[in-house]
Amino acid sequence: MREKDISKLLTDEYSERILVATQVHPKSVQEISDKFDIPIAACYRKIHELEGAGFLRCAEIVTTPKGKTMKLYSSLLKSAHLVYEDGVFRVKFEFDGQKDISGKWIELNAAPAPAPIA
Amino acid sequence: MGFERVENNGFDGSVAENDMSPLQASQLLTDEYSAKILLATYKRRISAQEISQRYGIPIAACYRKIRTLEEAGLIQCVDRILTQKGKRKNLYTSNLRNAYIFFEGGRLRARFQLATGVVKDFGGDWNGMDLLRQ
Repeated sequence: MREKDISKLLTDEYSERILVATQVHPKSVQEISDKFDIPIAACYRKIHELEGAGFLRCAEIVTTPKGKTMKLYSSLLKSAHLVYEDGVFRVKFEFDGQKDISGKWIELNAAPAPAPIA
Repeated sequence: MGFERVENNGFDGSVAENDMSPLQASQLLTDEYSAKILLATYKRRISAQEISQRYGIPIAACYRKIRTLEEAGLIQCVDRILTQKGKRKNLYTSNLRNAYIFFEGGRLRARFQLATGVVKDFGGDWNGMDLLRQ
């Protein structure tokens, strides 16, 4: 996934809520959907996207009283910083565990050389 | 870096309270079209038509995003020039100098510094400005 897509994924309204929801305790998709008011299909889709990008992991698989298995997810993202200075966007992410983009400033598209203001 | 300047200004007096949520504020910046418009208008004057063509933004979306950014005070119309066809054309320039969006400990905060020196904070508690030096 490209860095720009990552920053977009992070600031998406649902992704944001999912990452916040799973910050402390692992939660199931159903629980996140109910408590944070995210349509269930969108919730599954976003969680898969976040898992694919390495922001979420399945922490536990539990069996419900009805005998169904249910995955509990927890957030791997510790912090994210987005900075815009002098016409340049930079992002930095920190994760639990090893990840090569962790803790590194990534420069996104910069403004083309500015024309003087007449 | 931009930070020293702000600290010397003693930004306490100019911090504006805002009704936007930190999430909404951060979306102003991270939305693909908005980010492109902010870059396009950085230190130059440019029309909506030109932004649309140069950055590949559909014209209607371009006008809509420009309006959103203008309402948020991040860009402004600096001139209305007359085209060769006799139509009026608005020229926009970016008011945004620096922006910081932090997600830490499950909380999102945003800070915008405008060219006018105004600082807008979203999500409260921005006292720990040394965060950036980590």
